[in-house]
Amino acid sequence: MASEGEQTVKLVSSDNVEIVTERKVAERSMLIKNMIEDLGAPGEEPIPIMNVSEAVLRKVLEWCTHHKNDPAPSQDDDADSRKKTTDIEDWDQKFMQVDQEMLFEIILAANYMDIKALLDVGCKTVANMIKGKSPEEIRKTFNIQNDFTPEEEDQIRRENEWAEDR
Amino acid sequence: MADDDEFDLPDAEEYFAAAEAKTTVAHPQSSSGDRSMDIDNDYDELDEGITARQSCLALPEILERIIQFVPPLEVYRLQRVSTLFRDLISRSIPIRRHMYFVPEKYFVRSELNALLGTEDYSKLGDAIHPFRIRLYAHRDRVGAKVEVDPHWSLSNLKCAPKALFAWSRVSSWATILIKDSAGPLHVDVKLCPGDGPWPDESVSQLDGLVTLGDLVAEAKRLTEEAWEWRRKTLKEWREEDVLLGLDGTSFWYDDGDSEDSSDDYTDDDFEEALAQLNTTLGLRIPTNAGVNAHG
Repeated sequence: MASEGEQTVKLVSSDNVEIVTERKVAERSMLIKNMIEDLGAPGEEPIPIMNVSEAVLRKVLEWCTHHKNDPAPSQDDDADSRKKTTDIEDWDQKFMQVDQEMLFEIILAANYMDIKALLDVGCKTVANMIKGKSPEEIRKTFNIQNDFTPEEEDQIRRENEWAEDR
Repeated sequence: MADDDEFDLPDAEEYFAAAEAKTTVAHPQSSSGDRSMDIDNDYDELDEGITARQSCLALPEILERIIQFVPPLEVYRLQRVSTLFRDLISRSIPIRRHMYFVPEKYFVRSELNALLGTEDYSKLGDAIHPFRIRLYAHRDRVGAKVEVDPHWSLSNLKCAPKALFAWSRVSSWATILIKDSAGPLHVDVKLCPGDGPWPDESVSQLDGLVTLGDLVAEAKRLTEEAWEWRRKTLKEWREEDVLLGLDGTSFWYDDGDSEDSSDDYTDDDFEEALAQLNTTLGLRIPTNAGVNAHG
């Protein structure tokens, strides 16, 4: 019988593509880790990752492979991440150099698959795209509709005037 | 990931109800053998026309996470992006906490003093900043301390009132203490007396979602109130010949044994100094000249 480190698991993407990967890589995802523990017999039953397409799943697994030896996330990581800087390590920065749709696909997948470290990298990347931009520039960057009434917009501008251009 | 109970979105119920449905799907915290099947069914209902970007920015818990990586002061500006951003920022406790958080090493004095419009005076040195504000926040509490130098403006004027007001011992600073409160978003604002004539205690409470702007406005209001109180009190003392002078460490009171008083300042000097303070800090403490002009 293969040791846990050598075991593989089969994942099935939303477009029905089967991907075989190391168990250790797949278990960066808490969703998959919990499923394996619940289902038992890893490697036999394919695990459906129904909300993630093949392209995105391969991308996520690429990240998981690079980070497979990182320490396991602890309960405190979530709170601690708030105190950390928004710096992103070089490899992750390059990894996130994708088109905007793929970036958000990765964030959604990380959220769904419960990979907090990847989710944070994605959120930091988006936060870095927001930094230093005016509301109008942010709307343009992310194609967000300005749904304020002129009165609301005027009011919120006045309320936050003190924090502008600081 | 934010706890569910950290969201309180009564004014955006409709919007967030829809988002919440999606959030539930995308929240794989618990697991069971059958859970994957439930998730499948739910996700089939998502609109195919919605892009990942739209889905992502519509999920409060993801948007909340993104915003917490944006520098605190910029978060105020983000409220102007859309109603979704505005509603989320105003109602998310983790974000409000983040907006307060300023690392101790950066010490917020200079940053907030800039907000108070006192940059021009910074060259005169830290000791004579009119306000010093510290904010702190951690997981359960948020608070701020605003110290007000009652002598700041007058001490820099070449006029007689500085003989009355001017000395810069730290202990003479009045303190507006924004205390820890039971809830992280409810703060008590207190004006505690320093040396000299100040109200015994002036307290106000800011309820709800308090911003830095609220704190600054409240600090100004309390300062204004305290100055008015101080002005009236000093006037009463002078009229009653209670206050004779000041030697730099304490007030002199008429104890009945003094032979003469040393009233070395004039009303005009005082009014001039007060007008200067109003202009500099944007306060509205009425001067006698202003009162007479309108009265």
